[in-house]
Amino acid sequence: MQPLLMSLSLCLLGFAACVLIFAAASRGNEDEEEAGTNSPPLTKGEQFFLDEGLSPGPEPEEPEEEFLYRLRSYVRSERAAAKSFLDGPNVESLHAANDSPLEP
Amino acid sequence: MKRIEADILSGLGEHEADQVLALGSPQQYSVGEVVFDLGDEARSLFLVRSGRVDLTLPLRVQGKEEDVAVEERVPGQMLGWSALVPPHRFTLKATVRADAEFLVFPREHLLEFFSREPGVGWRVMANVAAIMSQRFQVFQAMWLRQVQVTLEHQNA
Repeated sequence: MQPLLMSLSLCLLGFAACVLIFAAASRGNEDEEEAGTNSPPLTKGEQFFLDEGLSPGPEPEEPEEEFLYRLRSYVRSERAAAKSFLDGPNVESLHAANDSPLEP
Repeated sequence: MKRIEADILSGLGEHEADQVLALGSPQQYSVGEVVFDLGDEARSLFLVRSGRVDLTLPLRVQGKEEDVAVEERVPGQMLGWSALVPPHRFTLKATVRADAEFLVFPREHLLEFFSREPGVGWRVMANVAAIMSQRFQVFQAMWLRQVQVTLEHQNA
């Protein structure tokens, strides 16, 4: 009995999903048709800006000074690590992690 | 003139060191002033008598060029060895971080003195070679570490 009920539930879910997808696709076609009749076709340039407007855009830049500070600390730490390696060359000190990572 | 311990004079006797120091002329720089820029023709060697100097390389950060310090020089240390080594172009930029006084040694003066005093010239050039060697070894180790980081990122 239980397998039968489970199969029935899955069928209903699948049907519901198909209905939703079909409805969404039909609405998209209607929009496109309306756009086609009421507005002039988009030129390549306009399409470019339209696409750009839809995209989330680049990640907001973190404060420049904060990044520069981190970069300078990273280089300073790398240099200290390199000097430490030269004082006593061994594989461990060459591969030791930087105390001031570049990534936050 | 107050005597300073200078890395390029290591191994010289007092009289010889004084002879070399006499070839330099003092110059003052204020904080923020650029002593030389990357790519400039290197005509003189600089010995820091006071203050502090950053040696930087330009990095492009978020679309802008920024100077990032890779070394610093304090009293007694030399900068500008490119003046003695062809092609005589500075490979870093030097910017004063704390008001500084240098002894500036024009290349021609040094080379002329070295030809008269080859023993002193050999010692000074050996000291310059040691400074260059340290720079090379530090940068080589930094480069190796960066290659290692890149490999670890690729394998992650």
